[in-house]
Amino acid sequence: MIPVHFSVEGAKLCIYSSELDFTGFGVRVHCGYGILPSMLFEILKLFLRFRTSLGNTAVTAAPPKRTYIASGHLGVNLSIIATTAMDSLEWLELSEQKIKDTLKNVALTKALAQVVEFAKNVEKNAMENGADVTTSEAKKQKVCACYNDMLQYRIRQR
Amino acid sequence: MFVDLQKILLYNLTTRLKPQAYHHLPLVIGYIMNGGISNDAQLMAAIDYVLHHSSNEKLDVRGFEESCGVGAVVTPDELEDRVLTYTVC
Repeated sequence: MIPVHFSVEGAKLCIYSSELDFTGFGVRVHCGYGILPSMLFEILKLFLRFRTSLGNTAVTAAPPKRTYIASGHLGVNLSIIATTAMDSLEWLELSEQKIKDTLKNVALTKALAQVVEFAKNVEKNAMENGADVTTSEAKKQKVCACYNDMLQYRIRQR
Repeated sequence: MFVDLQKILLYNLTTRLKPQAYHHLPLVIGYIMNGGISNDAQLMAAIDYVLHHSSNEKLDVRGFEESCGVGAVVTPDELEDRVLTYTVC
């Protein structure tokens, strides 16, 4: 069994382990915060591919606390999910409990990550175009102000 | 800049939209982002419309806008006036 630790650094997934023996067949994975169970299969495939390509030579040196094993660019989908799954949930300003609950639902987490990514792109494009930003921003604020007023009105009525 | 309301709408959209209509997601997100869809009632109408037309490759944008009232803003005063008209009658 090989304890493996992962960290996502930008678009790279880095895999670490403090164990010297990589000859075992079993791999035990510590599922860190932000790593979804659905990613584990892809991560394991990546890990095994790098282990095969590096052999055991990469880990024969005296091990520091975290021996760097490998890093690699992930496929587009996994990269998006890995880097944005947690970010997107936090970006949505969900409560801690809601984040925990949402993470249990892999499909929803993936969908949210994609939605947030898309929404950010829309915003980015609008910013780059420049012309519409002020008007759409003003429109948004106006609409939101109206909506807030309406909510206040409803609350007052109750 | 995103406003909180948009984030809530995006979350609600993701949780309510069924997978068979995911290919229309960008359209709805676009409307949320530009303020065309700005409240939950509009979002629900948009989701209903998209689900009913999920088999279509492309949506009739005009029909979509009409069904979910894109750009329609009702001020509290207008709402109050309208309600009063009915209560007076």
